Amino acid sequence: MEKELIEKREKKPGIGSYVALAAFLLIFSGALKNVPVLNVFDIQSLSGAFGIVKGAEGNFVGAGGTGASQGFALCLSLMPIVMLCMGIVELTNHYGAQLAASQLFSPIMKPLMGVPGTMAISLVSSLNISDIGAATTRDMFEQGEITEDERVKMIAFQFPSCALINNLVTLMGMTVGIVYLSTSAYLLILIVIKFICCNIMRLIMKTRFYKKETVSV
Amino acid sequence: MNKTNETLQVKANQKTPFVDVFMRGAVKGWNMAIKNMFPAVILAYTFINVLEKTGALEILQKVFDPIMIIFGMPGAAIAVIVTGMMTRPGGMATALALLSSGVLTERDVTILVIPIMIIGGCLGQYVRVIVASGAANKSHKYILLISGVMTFVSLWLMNLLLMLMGI
Repeated sequence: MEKELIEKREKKPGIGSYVALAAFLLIFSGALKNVPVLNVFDIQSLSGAFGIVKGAEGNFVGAGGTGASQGFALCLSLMPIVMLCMGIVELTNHYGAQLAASQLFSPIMKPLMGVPGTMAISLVSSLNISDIGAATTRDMFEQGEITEDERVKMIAFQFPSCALINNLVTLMGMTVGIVYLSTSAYLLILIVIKFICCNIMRLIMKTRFYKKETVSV
Repeated sequence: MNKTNETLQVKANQKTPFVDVFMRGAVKGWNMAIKNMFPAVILAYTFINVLEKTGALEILQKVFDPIMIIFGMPGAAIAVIVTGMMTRPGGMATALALLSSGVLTERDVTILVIPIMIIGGCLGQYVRVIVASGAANKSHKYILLISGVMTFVSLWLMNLLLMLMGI
């Protein structure tokens, strides 16, 4: 899969990729709720709701459950949302949302992170699956495209809240209608936090304290 | 006869990429839910159940209230972060269980999503991300430290953000 990703770097994102990226962000942002026709594509509208059980007040999950059974019932009610969300993520990635995102990230990576813009695809794919981000970072180091310091900075970005999108989507499924912020808002906040963590690491790396430390093998 | 079979086979394999890709993603979602979400949520809800019935939750709250008040959270939020360190859906489930018991408010849960995401699953992800990338050994403790500190700082930042938004 890493080879696929490195090949992806050579592809240029077209208008379709940007449409896919925009669609992904809009669907999860809650911004479509009030738009006349497109409001059907808002994630809450697509997720729908379970029907009311006849003769009862709510859906099959019931009320007042506790312990493992309640946890199980909750998960069962979440599965459709998680499956739908991952389907949307896979679709938008297939149509090039990752490529568009990496093109948007690459000019800012050098000033904001101190890492070359060619790492953008690794950065964007680390937002989906943590292993891919780590593996591509390692590959690019071994091929001599980045230095050791740049690798550390990259990991300092990837580790906090790794596999962001996949996990966020699961958590959001669990908290539909409870939390006050939309998925895209959380996505933005977490990416900003990742940049902050990366830059704190950059500062630490500039101190003499860090540079003097040697690896004890 | 063989040629007809071949043509039929080729036609059967030509599904629309849209449907194919969506279904592949949906299956991924299924696997994530079954292998990751279900076990974690059952663990978390059982854990909270035990804490509540033994009265340990109240003790936990009394001990951690003075600490967590700095971050604007009730003391029980520490249970959310600790569970979240093991598994993210577990941490979220803990938060939801505490919400339905009335210990946490919806605003608290909104804030807690961020620390759960930052430090979540760190016990597993340490190996999968930091070690797998081969980053210098001396950097590991700093990255973990930064993430840990950020987890708590983000509680305060999120509180600020929600206040600025008027929530």
